[in-house]
Amino acid sequence: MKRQHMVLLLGFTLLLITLSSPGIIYSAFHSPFRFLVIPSQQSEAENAINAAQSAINIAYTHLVVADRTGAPIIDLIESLNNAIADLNQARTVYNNMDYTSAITLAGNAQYIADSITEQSQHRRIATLVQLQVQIILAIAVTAIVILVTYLALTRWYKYRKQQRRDLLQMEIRLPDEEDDES
Amino acid sequence: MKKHTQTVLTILMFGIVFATGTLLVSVWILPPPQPTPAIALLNENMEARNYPTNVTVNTNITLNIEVYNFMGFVQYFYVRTKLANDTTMASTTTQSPASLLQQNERIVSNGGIWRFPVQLNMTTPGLNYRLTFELWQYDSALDAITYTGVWVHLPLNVTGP
Repeated sequence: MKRQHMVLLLGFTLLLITLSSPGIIYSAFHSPFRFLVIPSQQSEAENAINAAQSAINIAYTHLVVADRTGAPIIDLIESLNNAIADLNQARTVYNNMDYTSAITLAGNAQYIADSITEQSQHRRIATLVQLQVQIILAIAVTAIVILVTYLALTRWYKYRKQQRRDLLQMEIRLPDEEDDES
Repeated sequence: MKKHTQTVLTILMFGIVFATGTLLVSVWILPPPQPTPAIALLNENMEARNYPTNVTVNTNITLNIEVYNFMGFVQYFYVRTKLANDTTMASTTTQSPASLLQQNERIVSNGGIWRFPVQLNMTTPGLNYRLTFELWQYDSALDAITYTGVWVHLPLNVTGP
């Protein structure tokens, strides 16, 4: 082969590689021709999914505590179910090797779960404070009722005692008056 | 003692006896309610009858599952769908060793009901299948998913085309 032909062939090959490289790079990272996956991204997605699941479990535990305190949590349950749905979707896209989407979805699920943990704690404390105020109020009202009842009974007892004494004196006086008349 | 004082005392005594009796009955005699979840299997029209028990291969089966939370507090439930047979059926103490087809999960409020559809495509023919739905829950004390011992199954025959 002549040198001129060699140069032409090399030039043509370089041109072909240059033109097709964007396609190769795109195929490498996108479905269904993905064959190049950065291992760190896969492990990052796996970590994100595990972290989201842990966050959901923690949020659920806080929800249970808040629920037992009597705090309103219906809306928080719905939000946590949305986080679970996001996490499930993250697992699905992870299985389809779409790690970028998996990281995004798992991150979103973790963010929601962390926010629910915080809100559950706030609501639990608020409910406890409200309960304490109610107990203090109930004790105060009971004390006032007992005091008023005691005072009323004491007065009534004194009044009755006085009435009986007056009556007794009148009964004692009456025979004297009769004696005077006789 | 005057007559009205006697009446008041009698009423008071009856009240005390009634209240004490009610308390004793509720605490010692009546058994405390057992917190338990429940699961129900319904057909595609949300009825507990006319289940698809004989299907052909590659036919889509649509069923509905209802989970009831009678546990007394909010619960994190999982429903695991498995294709078992007579020898690999679940019991109240052990889960089915059959392979997992799919898993659904949701947090259910106290006294709440979770309804969801299940769509399956049976690809392998066979007789006396037991399409099993096991109810699991997340136990925060153990930080693990545990089997509740509650399950429901559908006898299924899958025949060739």
